[in-house]
Amino acid sequence: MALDSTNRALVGAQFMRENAEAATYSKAELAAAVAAADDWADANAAAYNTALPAGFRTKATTAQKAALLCFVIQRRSGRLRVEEDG
Amino acid sequence: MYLLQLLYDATNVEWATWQFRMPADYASAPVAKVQYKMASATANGVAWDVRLAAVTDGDATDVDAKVFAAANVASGTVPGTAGFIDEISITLTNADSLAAGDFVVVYLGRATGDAGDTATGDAEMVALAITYTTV
Repeated sequence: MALDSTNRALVGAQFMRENAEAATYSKAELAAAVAAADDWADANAAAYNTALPAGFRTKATTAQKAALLCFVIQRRSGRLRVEEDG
Repeated sequence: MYLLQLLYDATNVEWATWQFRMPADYASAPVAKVQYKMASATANGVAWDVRLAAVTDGDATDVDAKVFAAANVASGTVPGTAGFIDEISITLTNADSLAAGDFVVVYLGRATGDAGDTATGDAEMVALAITYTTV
């Protein structure tokens, strides 16, 4: 289910607080990007579910599937630290 | 970090106040000068909101209950490099009948809802001054 406007705004606000790289986009452009990313997640939820191997897909909850995707993306973006990282 | 700075969020309105006695040579035309840098933004604008509350000796004013005069807002384009200083001048049209010798409280906030406040991330305020014409 897509985020409501309040939660989309909160995502954008926190993104700005945590971003340390130079940013040339405006607050309005960021807000549009948050909405687009959320819409994309909504539109592609079924495809993601289908992509998961049946052993996990049929046994994991929706929340677990969402968390798994978050972990993979966060690790790819360098934001997820794990115990093995020391 | 060798300096002190106040971080102003891009979304939530955050503010600070300072108080002082208005110098005796004050005549008119107060202008606030806000010096700031940006944490990450290298384009777009930032808007500052300056408000004054001024009380003259002998005024029949309950300072505890007083409120600020209307906002004075101005915006400007942020520096093209994060960490570089910019200064924005804000003409204090709403100066609460400011006079020499007044007890003054000045409010500085980031006007995050203003049309000119389009830059992302924190604005880092490093200095605020009020200039004016003298007697």
